[in-house]
Amino acid sequence: MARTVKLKDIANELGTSIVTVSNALSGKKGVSEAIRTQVIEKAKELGYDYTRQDKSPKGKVTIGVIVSGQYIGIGTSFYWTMYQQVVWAASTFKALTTLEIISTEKEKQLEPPRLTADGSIDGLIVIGKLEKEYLERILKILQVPVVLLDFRCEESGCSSVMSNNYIGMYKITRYLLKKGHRNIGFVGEVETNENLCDRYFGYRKVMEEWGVPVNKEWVIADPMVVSQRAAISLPKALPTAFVCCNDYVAGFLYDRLSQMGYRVPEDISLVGYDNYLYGHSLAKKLTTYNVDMKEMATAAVKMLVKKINGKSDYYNIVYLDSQIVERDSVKNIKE
Amino acid sequence: MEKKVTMQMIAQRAGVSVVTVSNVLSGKKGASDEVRNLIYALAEETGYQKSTPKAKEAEQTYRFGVLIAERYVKEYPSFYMHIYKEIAQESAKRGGLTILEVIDETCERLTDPVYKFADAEIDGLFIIGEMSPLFLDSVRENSKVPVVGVDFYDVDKDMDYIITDSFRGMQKATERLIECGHEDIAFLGTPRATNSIMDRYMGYCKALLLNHIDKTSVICDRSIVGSGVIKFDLPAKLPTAFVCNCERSTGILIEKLREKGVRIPEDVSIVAFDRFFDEYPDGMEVTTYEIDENVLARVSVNTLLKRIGGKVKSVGIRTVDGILKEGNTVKRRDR
Repeated sequence: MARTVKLKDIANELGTSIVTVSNALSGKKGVSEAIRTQVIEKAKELGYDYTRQDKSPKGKVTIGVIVSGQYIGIGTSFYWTMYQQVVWAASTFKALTTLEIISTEKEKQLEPPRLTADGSIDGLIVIGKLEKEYLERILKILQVPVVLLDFRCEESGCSSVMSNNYIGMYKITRYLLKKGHRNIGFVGEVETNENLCDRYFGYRKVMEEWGVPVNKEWVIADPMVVSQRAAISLPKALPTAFVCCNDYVAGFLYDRLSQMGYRVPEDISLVGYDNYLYGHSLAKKLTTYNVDMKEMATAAVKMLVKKINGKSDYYNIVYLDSQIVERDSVKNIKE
Repeated sequence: MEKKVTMQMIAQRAGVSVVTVSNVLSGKKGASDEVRNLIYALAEETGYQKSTPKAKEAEQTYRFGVLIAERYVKEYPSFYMHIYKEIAQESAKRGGLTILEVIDETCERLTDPVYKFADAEIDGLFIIGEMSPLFLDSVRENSKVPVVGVDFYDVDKDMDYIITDSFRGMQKATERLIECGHEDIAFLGTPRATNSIMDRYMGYCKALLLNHIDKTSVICDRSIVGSGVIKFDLPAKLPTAFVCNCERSTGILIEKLREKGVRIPEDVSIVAFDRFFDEYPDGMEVTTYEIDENVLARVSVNTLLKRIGGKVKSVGIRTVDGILKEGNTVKRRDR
């Protein structure tokens, strides 16, 4: 069998260096046109395998990303930043990403995303909760692996990467108790969003653990408030601190408290969740639990790439833990 | 003597960095095929010989210390000894040896506990099951090797913990009862006794809340502080179903119900948490949320190995999912 022709063989034949041959074949500078032609001709003559040079890297994958339009909003939003992190993580795996934002109507009418149409993606990441029916519809059409980011849907059998909502909120609420607070309220949805429900129980856990009763008046769980479509109505007697289900809600509550003449943290303490609050004066002040978006995105992409390459068909849900970011919205009232 | 060919020499001739040469020669990613070919050709021409200190790494044997509190070893069958077995097996697969030390109660209560591993040569340490905070602090402060906690956690300590998903597991188990029409459901367990019982209690509360059931009731099965001896009385009026926090309470509950002539599941349904290694009477199989101890062990060993390699920082709490295994202790009720 003929042995494969190497760069070295061409160099030997022509009496030049390997580097020159390589440069000439790859069209780089530093080689005269005359020599380049010579090298190319010699390569042809000897039957040098060009394909070894310009083969595109193996395993180049395209990752589809879909996000529900209701989360993207205007300007910078949490999920937009999350998407950015996915793009970055994908690039480290030499993968391309393609984004589709799903309108609420599309989701309601179960109209499948265009991304699923022509088999152009090798895998899909869904950022943020989609209606279960819609997700099932997508899974029916799509024959590629799917990873869910920041929500889970067990029935779908898709692996997920999530923030550890329950433990995260447990940590940040405990921080308040350690600063001497006992009268602590909670602002956030409880029943409609599972992530937020888990955060509520993280708060509940600390209260149970320390034997502090939860005052129902201080649990503000109106979904309209969380989506900022309704004003917060505060009870007459306020607690010494509020735990907010996310930083946006903390910002919203902060504005309301400021209107009423309360100062944070002098009169009332606040903590949030996410460590993501842009364009609000509270951002530099709010003590919150960090959601490590970079870590989450990387974990999701890694998981998906593994599945695409057929290296993992293992179903699992990864909950990522992070830490408290201590700023200046909590007053120490411990005697 | 002929000068030894170094990577640097190849790098200079190829006009790339030493790192690129190293990556290519060790078969790593991060170089184009073009550069790759050039470097191979140069290496061959110059007669580069790879030095091989790396080979040692694969043969290295790690020694893992394992600490378990005496109270977990005393009980029979012992859940944590089973976890230990899985960890030992998993370690062996990965070229590690485990050395077990049982910590008695006196040692655990000392402010300056003496345990043998402090001097012995170990590369990493597992602690299986919750231990007194004082003991944990002392181990962490004195330990020069990475420590991974298995099946318990403490949010204040910056180390890795691998835990069973108590919160969501108990939510699932309770939801099973609710699906079958049960509304009068009691929780058997003392929430404040341990972190995981509290998490299980919270999971129970979450399931009830999401299903709009207001009535919660708790039957404590042990004292808040103490050795974990299980002792409880049945309530005068029995609920239609029990969720049990652990396999030992489940065994005792079944005995007590049978003594009173209560039939399972005809009169009272039961769901439980954690696998029971002993046998229940009369072919009874309790519907149980079980974790795969093998997965728990694998994740634990993986985490410790990564930490020993110094590749990653501590990730905090990592939750491992389990499944709800159907038995014959839940009866469907008409609402």
